[in-house]
Amino acid sequence: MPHKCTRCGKVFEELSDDMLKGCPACGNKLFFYMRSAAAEELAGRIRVEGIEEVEDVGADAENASQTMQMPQLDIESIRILKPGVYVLNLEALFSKEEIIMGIKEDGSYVIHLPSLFKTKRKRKKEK
Amino acid sequence: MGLRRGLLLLLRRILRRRNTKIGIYGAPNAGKTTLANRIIHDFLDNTEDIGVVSEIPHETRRAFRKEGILITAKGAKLRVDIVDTPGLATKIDFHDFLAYGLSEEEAKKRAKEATEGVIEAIKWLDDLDGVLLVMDATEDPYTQANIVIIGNLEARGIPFIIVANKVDLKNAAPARIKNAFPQHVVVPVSALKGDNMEKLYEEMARRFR
Ligand SMILES: Nc1nc2c(ncn2[C@@H]2O[C@H](COP(=O)(O)OP(=O)(O)OP(=O)(O)O)[C@@H](O)[C@H]2O)c(=O)[nH]1
Ligand SMILES: [Mg+2]
Repeated sequence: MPHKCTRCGKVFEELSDDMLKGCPACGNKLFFYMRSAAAEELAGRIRVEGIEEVEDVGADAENASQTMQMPQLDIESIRILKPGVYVLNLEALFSKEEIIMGIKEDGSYVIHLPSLFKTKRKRKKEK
Repeated sequence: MGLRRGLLLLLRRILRRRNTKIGIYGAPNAGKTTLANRIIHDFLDNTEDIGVVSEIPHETRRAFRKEGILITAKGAKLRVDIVDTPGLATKIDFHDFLAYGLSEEEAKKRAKEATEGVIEAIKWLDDLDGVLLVMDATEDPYTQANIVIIGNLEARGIPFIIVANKVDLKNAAPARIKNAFPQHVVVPVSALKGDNMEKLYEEMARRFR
């Protein structure tokens, strides 16, 4: 499945271990899982890693489909219904190594690949 | 396991003084931070808190660890690190926070941080030796969050105790929790008032050693 870096745009045909640490070309940590041309177009609009940036696109997506129902989550771990409203698929978050954020109903997803691998460093140690 | 290997492991454990790492999990507002504070007050320092307790859900949005708490119960000892985690939820909606007087901007920030908090809570699971799964005994225990986490704890073989919290409240029904999860250990407590905590400590010393 092709993945595209959301910062430098480099496309990777295969997932590699390197990518878990970030984009091998630019170090960016958000990848786009490319399923369609539309997904690719959307990927071009996401620049910064993190949920915030995805939210902006999520808002557009919501405006585009006013009739959006409470979604059936299947492969996404998190769906952003609109800014500030999240639906979490706990089962997927528990069982999958990558976090997939759904932002549109046309088969486009943002994947935060390394998020599961960088906690050790990020953890706050209580003194 | 051979005797030699057993001794080596024991020796290493003593040398590294590795504590048993216990995560406190559960839905928002179940009383996780209240329970963590209670444990710390009972065995470590009466003036120290691991985190802020609040009636607003998703108060805890990062995992916090407190190390080296020596729990004693009926002669049994258990040296633990306690990890207080953000509440697990299937939907996080900033509108829910507006009623508590947060501005829209604050509420949206809280929702985002709470979502990231759920991810962090789940990631911690790999590192734990045991879990206290806290449920609010005044509420229906049969939620998706509870079911998913129990399934995962079972699958990973992590020992856990269900803490039926808030039994000081009139409408608390810890029996409902026992009925919902009959194959698991359920200890009713009031983390706020300190009721029945000795029973919980005994159970922890027994299961998490
Ligand atoms: N009556 C009663 N209230 C309790 C008890 N434990 C906690 N509470 C109250 O429940 C509310 C939530 O408590 P917290 O300890 O912040 O809950 P939490 O599980 O850490 O919540 P999050 O961090 O938001 O996930 C607070 O208003 C507490 O005072 C209890 O044993 N009895
Ligand atoms: Mg808390």
